[in-house]
Amino acid sequence: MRWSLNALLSTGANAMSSQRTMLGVYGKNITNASTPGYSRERAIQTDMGWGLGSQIVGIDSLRDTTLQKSLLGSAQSFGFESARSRALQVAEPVVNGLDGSGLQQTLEKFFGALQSASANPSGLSEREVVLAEARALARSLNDAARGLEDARQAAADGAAQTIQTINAIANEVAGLNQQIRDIQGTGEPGHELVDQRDQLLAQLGQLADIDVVPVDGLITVTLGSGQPLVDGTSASRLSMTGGGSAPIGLQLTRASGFAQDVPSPERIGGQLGGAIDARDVTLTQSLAQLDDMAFGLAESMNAIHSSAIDLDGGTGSRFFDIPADAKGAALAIAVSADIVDRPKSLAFASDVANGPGDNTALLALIGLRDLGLGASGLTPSQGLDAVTSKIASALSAADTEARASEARFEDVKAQVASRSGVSLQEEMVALTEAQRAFEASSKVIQTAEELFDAVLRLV
Amino acid sequence: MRITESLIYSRMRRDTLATQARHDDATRPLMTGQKATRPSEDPAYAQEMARLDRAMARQENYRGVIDTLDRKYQTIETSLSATVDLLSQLQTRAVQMANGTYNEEDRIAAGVEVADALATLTTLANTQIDGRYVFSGRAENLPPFDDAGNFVGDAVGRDIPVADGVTLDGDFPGSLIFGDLATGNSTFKAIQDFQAALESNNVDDLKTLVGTFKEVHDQATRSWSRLGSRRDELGRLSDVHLDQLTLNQMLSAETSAVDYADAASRMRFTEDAYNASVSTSQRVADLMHKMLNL
Repeated sequence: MRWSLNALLSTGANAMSSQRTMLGVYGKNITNASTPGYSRERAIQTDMGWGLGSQIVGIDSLRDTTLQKSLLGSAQSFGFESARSRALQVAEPVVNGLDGSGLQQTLEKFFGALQSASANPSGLSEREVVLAEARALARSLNDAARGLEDARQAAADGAAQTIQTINAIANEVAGLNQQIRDIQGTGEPGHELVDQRDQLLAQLGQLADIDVVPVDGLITVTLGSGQPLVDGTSASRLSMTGGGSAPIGLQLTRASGFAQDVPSPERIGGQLGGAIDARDVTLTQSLAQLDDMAFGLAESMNAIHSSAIDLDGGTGSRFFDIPADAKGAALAIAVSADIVDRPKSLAFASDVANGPGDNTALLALIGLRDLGLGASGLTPSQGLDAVTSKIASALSAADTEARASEARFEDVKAQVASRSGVSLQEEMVALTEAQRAFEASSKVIQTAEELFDAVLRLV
Repeated sequence: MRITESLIYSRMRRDTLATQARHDDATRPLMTGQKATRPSEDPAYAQEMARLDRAMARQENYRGVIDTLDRKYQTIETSLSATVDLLSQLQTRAVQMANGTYNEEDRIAAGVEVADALATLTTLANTQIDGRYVFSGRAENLPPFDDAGNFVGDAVGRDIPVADGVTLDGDFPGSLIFGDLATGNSTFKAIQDFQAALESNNVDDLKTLVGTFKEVHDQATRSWSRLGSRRDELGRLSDVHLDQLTLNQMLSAETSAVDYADAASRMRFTEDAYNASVSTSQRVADLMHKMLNL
């Protein structure tokens, strides 16, 4: 095969061009080493054949779709447990009796006051203590219910905030889909835009359980329920329904205006699912348990007290004011206005003929301490234990799961970084290699020039 | 695995924060002196502490009730003791007055003493605590006996809870001590009859009354003995509660106690781990810096 001097020049020129591109790619990688979500790029160099040298046929962005999918899965799990933990942490002080205060202590003091009064049921000071402890118990129940309601509200606020972020990200992803379609139409790969989109998807993955499906070069993002959050270049809008005392509901409105409920909102996963699960499962059940305990205790006390005899010989009234059913009982419970400032109105006797020292009804009131009350059939202290246990166990499990899922998430992130991240050492070596190759290519051209000169001198 | 600089820095940051968090966890028991300060740290521990707190509060409360009851019994005992003394004196006096060596004048003079004794007994039977008649049972707002010596108080009394599932009779009806005219063993009637017999100088009646006084004296003595048994029972229950309270306090202290040696060594370990993590991070950063300078 014969080589012309022109071919030698072309070989050198093409090689220089290739190396220049490669230098640019390595430079870009180095300058983006700390850019979040950046996937390193590699120039694809091929041999052009005899007398032509090499050429760059494309620039590849190193990303692994399997790892990206795995990242989404671990992100949603971490997001779910960490949001659940945060929501339950707000409620934990409400049930914390380890500091020597709390509902259990107040309940025990109330029954203690009744018990003390049993030895001297007509004593006004003993009756004052009973009323004071009853007021303290009612206030503690009110505070606990308010604390749980506040925690539920905080979780609902968190869910609303997360929904806003999800919608904003969904819009950005849809916008990026459009931009990627446009830029790829011009023949450019649009790696930067794809990186941005992947970065947003990783964020979205922490907020909800999503599935990403590539369709015609774009992506479709669906929720765990299969409903599309992003369909190509259009984004749906997620919104919250319900709330207040009702469970949170979710609705997805497509760009066309078609709205559809998201089934089982607590299973939407991610931070949104975690907040909803904490609110509508653990906290709601805890509040219901507290309501049941308050209602059961108040109902039973009222039944005994309103048929007993007070110190003036009159028939007793209700002991506690409560709503007609258990819902909201803990928040609304109060010592009845009929007795709250009237210790003589406390009805401890069963029969006026027994005299003012009769404590028969009082003993029945004390007996409620160890009786199963309300729908749950638990004693009052067991009812409170159940509330504490539910929140403490759920929080403990959420913390443990959050730590484990964070470790998994970090592992997958490390694998993604290992595959797509920029290694400065590697890039520096490659940069040096490309620099040397560029210099060598220039030598090819220089040699060709010298050969041309030599040939021309012969002419 | 391919390791990038950002991966190294990211790991350094994460691992250092994790060792810092572990160090914080390790120092908390030493700072607070408690095994756990939040129920979620150890739900079973929180439940156990709640159970022990509840048991201790209940035992304290039972002890308070027992103290109140015992103070009442002390007052009753004081009255009973004085009653038994008074009846002993009257019994001795009845024996003396039934003796033929005393004349009518002596008996009339003794009748005045007996009238005083009747007044004293009435006062004893009307003993009150904070305005409540202690021998009236549940009808504590009224004196236990009417002027004729009929018991008008409540003979049933009330049960006082002194332990879980255990109640004690919280009252000592006056009819048990002083009898009741209706049942024929009235102390008041015996004294009234004694007074009448002295005033009428009826030696035969006086001889009969010697036996009656023995009966009412025995009645009061038996009540005193019964009261003593109740006080013993109260004392025993109080001791049981104190023992249980002490035991629960020990259990609570043991359950919540921090093993300081273990906690201190864990703190030291996590401190060393944290220092190692920080200095390793520093060295890795230096190394990477040097490498990039090449």
